[in-house]
Amino acid sequence: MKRISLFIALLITLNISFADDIDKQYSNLIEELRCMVCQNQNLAESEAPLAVDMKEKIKEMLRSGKNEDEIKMFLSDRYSSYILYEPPVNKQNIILWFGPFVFIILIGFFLLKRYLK
Amino acid sequence: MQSLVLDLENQDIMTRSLLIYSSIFILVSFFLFKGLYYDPKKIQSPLIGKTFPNFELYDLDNNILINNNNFLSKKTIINVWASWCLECEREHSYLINLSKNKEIDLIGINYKDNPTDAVAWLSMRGNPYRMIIKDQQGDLSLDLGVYGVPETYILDENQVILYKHIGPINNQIIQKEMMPLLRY
Repeated sequence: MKRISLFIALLITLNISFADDIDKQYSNLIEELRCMVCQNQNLAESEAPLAVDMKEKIKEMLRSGKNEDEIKMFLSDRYSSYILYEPPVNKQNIILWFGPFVFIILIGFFLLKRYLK
Repeated sequence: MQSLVLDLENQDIMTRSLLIYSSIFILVSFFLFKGLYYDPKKIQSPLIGKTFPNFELYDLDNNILINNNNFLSKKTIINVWASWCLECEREHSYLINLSKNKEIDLIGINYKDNPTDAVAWLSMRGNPYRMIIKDQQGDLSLDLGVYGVPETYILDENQVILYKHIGPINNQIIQKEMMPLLRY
């Protein structure tokens, strides 16, 4: 009897942590994905029909065991990487990713030169 | 004498900083100006060049299950519409015209609609579609990267997506963008 109740307790905790994990992944994802039909809202903030559908789809995919990257890939394959608030580095946006650092280094260099003078 | 030299130096610094600031200003305004005419929705769909997603859904008219095998090996126009969509009404006459072209297959996707309303809507305005896929949950449309209704796709004979248009189609879009892709 003791063993069974222990087993049940284990199952319950496992189940809870599993659900927790999905919930966490879900809220991470909807924060990081853009609502495609709104002006600058993420999926979490939006109640637009398309956003609601996407959230349903994300829930469904998480429940069927897909991870965050797979879901992001699924959506950006269909709605372009514009849907990701953190787009992958590619040829078109390399200046945006690294430009600011180059700029800071350049400015630092000039300031140092002036200071040393 | 010394003050004159200082003045000249000051002027030099001033023209130089003016040059730097104005060039930064011009650069920033250039990008901002470009942004004014940039519509993120016009980003080309990543699905272009890919095959139409696999599906199995009911047909609006006969309620039989249909899938990719029900497509013909012709150039195909896929039009996503709904009876609740006002813009769809604007493009409807163009679709009726396109349906007269026997070299093209025209398939509708009825998007998140009430079937009774959809059938009534078509019986009032005419049915341009050879077949209508009933996508009440919007699953197929999500798979297709649909934003909203109406949207129009062109597929080649092998169900490869060639083109996507968001919003109602009109004469200019048909003639300039769609017809060249629909010729064999």
